[in-house]
Amino acid sequence: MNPEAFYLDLSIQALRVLVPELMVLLTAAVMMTLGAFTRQPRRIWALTSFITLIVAFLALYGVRTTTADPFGSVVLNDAFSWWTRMGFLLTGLILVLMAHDQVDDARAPEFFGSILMILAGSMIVGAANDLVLLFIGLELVSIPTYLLLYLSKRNVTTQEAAIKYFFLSIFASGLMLFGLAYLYGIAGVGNLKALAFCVQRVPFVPNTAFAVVAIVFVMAGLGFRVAAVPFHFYAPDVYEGSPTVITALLAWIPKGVGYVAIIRVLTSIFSQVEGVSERGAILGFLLAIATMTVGNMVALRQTNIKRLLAYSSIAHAGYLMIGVVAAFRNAPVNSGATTHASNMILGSEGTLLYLASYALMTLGAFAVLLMVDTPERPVETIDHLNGMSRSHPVAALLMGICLFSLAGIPPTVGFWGKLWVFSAALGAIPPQADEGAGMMVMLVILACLNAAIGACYYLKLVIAMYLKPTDLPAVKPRSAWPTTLAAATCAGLSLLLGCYMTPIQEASREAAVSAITQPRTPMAGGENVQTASLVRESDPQP
Amino acid sequence: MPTLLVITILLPLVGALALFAMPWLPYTIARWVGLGFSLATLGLTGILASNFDLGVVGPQFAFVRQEGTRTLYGLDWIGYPDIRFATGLDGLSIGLFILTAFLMIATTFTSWESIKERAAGHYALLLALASGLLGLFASLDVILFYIFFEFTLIPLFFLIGIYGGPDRRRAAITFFLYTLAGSLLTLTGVISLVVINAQCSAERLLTFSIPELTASLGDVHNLAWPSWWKAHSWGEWGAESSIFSGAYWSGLLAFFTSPQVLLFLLLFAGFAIKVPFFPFHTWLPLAHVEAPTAGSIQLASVLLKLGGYGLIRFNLAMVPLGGQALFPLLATLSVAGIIYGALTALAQTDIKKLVAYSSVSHMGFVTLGLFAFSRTGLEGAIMQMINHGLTTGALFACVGVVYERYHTREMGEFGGLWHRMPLFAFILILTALGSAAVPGLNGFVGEFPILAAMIARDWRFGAAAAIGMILGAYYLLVMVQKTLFGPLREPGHDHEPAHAHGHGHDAGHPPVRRLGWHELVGLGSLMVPIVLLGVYPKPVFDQMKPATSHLAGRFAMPAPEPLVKPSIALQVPQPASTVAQDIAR
Repeated sequence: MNPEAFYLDLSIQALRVLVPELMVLLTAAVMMTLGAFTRQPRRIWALTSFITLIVAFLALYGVRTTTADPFGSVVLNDAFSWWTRMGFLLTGLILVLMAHDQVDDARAPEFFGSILMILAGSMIVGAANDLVLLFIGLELVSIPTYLLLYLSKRNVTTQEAAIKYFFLSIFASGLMLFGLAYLYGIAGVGNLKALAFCVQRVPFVPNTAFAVVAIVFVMAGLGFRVAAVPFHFYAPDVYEGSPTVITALLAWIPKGVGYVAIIRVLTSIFSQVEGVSERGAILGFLLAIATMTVGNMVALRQTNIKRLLAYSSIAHAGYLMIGVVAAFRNAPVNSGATTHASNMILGSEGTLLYLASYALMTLGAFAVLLMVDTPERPVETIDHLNGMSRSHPVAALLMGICLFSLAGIPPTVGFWGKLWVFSAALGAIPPQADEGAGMMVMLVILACLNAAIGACYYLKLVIAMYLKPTDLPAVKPRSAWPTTLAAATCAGLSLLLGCYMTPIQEASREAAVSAITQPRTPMAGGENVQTASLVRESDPQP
Repeated sequence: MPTLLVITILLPLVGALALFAMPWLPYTIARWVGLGFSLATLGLTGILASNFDLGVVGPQFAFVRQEGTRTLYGLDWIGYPDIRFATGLDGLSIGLFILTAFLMIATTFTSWESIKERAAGHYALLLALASGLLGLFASLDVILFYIFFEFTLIPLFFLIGIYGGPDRRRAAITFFLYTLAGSLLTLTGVISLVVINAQCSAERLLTFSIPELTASLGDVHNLAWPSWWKAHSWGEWGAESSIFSGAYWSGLLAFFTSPQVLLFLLLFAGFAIKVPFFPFHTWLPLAHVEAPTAGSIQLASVLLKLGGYGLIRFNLAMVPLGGQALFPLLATLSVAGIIYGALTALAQTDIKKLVAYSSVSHMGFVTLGLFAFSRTGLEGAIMQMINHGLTTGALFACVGVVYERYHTREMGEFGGLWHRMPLFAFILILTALGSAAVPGLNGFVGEFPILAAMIARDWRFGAAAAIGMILGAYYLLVMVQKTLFGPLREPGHDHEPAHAHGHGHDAGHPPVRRLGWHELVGLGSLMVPIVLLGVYPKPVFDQMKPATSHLAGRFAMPAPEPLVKPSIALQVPQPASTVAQDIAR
């Protein structure tokens, strides 16, 4: 076949898959440029972003059947990519609703442009099938964040937050790059599916030391994004110092992106690799335990709501890590190994489901904070919530649902998230219990105790809202229907999906299976649909 | 019928949502709405109970679908893994299901006059709680069971926290967290059971259905099980090594981490806290004392039964070997709970605390009966759960009557109420005697089989528990004597509160209200079964007989060979003697 035509075809495939991201990026660029020449009210910019995201969603739906060659293309359009990109887009809609009145008119174009870029970056991470593109996606999330942190409010605390985030983020990117370089060095390929193929099938690949260094550094770099202990130090200060809507964005997007990237570059490649996946699991185990415990323990002592939610998001990073530990121990699909775990719940499935539930409940909680926070009656400490069930009954109800969901009490979606990661962890124990079995049981037991501790501080908020009388003057709640809509959507979905979570569960499962599925190569069997279709299109071979 | 069961479970929830949506309703209307939904639920439960087929072992009123050799219960809920919305009732659960529906009436009537502010919310929470409890007893899927198990925390949390006594916030949060911590460990155990069943059992079936899990996990002598699915035996770690040797401690660790024992303990964590089992009872007095009367009744009468019911469903049915290996520990703690609860009750001056500690003591009997691992003990335990629900519910309702009138629960501050409210005195005496297990009333028919079964298994624990029974009669009679007999003393009439001075003597103290019709109906509805069950308990025993004998058949199988010479406590591994069973019937 003609190589030029083949490569051109690959590029066209990639561009076709990336249409939604390109649309969002283009709009962001236009908005930021126009912002310098024209002054429009902020609602225009918010509306533009909202419409862009909806159109991008339609485009995403339109390209869902487009396939890309798994070993050649820089992007993949599998179930994983579909589910994560859709998730980021939909939460992006909620974020725009929340942000619609949080910035003054002068800075609105840059503000919404940055949000769009961040969303585009996170979607690229979901679709990436190449180390370089993945890194670009991650940076596309980070760099606009620096801007956002300092854009909407300019005072000493936001300055401090922005600087802290900037330096640590740069440092984390460095660590990440170092790890990615080692990953590349394992087999000399940057394509993730090809890398997975080499690691799983080619004898004497990977070199264990190489692989472990790669895992440690990539995990460190991404650990910063997801705010895992010991890379969490920036989170509370940055969360507290930033405007609430930025805090919401920080609590969700980097965490989601980080875990999506971990599933893409670590667990899908190194699942059940002799000598490597055990060490990856142990690393994840230590991170998970430390993250959960530190996050929950410190959250107990907080009185500032944003700091509390910051530590709570650290704790949730710990629960999410449990799924990663399980995913390291899962066998890859099609690998021919006896897949003891894949007949139950996959680790990455648990993590993806938990991410979906986490997005809903965290964004919901922050949206409620935005709803009730007014200049006359700021809501900063827990005491400011006192008696909210009387003064703002709707907001209190929505907040209550989100808090119970965060605590993992049924019938909310947070319960299913916890159930799924715990089940994944226990399901990853093989029938002939190996030496890691005790580790998994201990992990789940510690996670359960942590969940009980976590419920304590969420209940503190519920108690403040429902059981304590207020000592503050009653004020009219801010009438901002988009914020209310965002909060109601999140809380309502938390409850609805808590009663019937099959849709997100099936999507997560398909995504998880596709992430660890190894497409068969033409030389190995030639039956793979994606590869075969590519070959057919470009060069009809016998 | 299956649809009717689901409707029965969801009907109170519908009522709760309706009341939540109308928080402005005055209490005069809200209480009628609450009563209406309670009566409707009770009526539906009555239809179910009258259609209950006594000869059937498996669950009834369930949606059933045959798929190959499998019987799938319930409706599709989550595709893969196959978690189902499965409901059904069998002999183990029907009694408690009826009890729950029955007590809804009593709780509504006890809050009839006492709850006037935010009344719609109160009745909504009561209905939501009832819905959760009914759903729990009817669950045939472990995840569904667990969802209802935790869902009950939310309404009760708000019932205690909003409508409770002065220290209500602490009580609510203690109750919630204590229970949650335990139940999360239970969740770990439940998932582990499912995983083990899917990976190691004969059929290797990934199922969440309680009947299937019970059939497969309880069948411990099936040769398909790997060898580690056998429990070690109690005391084996100390047989050949002294306490100072490393072998002793590693043996101890090996015993407690052997799968059956570890799983038993994990499952036990949540249920033991709910029961409450002796060292884990500390949340109970606080929650009971601070809860409003209706909350106390629901808490004592049904919520505690979740623990006992869960022990039967999961611990006894799915990891029986672990339980039998732990027998000395469990029986000792049960007896300790009986005696400790009774002694603590004896020392109380607050009448509500006294009843609360009496619950610890009475629930000790339930666990003792369960851990006798015999059919007699099992039937006695279920009977005792129902009885405790009735009598303790009635006792809390009586306490509520007193508290509503005098705003104190200190037994030192009032007395001789016989002179003021003779009918109330009669009811209180009857209830106290029922609770003290006087023959002819309901307490006896529960506690006697338990003692018989325990004496058959190990007479020393039975004898110690009998002492607890005597103590039980003692503190209940002391309570009756202090509150009812002697000269009439009423707190409001003896000393005036400071702010009332200047208005003449009896100003602000209307004469004590007589028992209202609603209180009479509420208490009376509990009196009838207290007497009836005491005189003629056969229908209840008949209901549970097929299920209990099926379950107890598992215990009768040859116990695994002890690895070492058994210690004294283990010398009675046979099932309870048939004599004891005959007596119980």
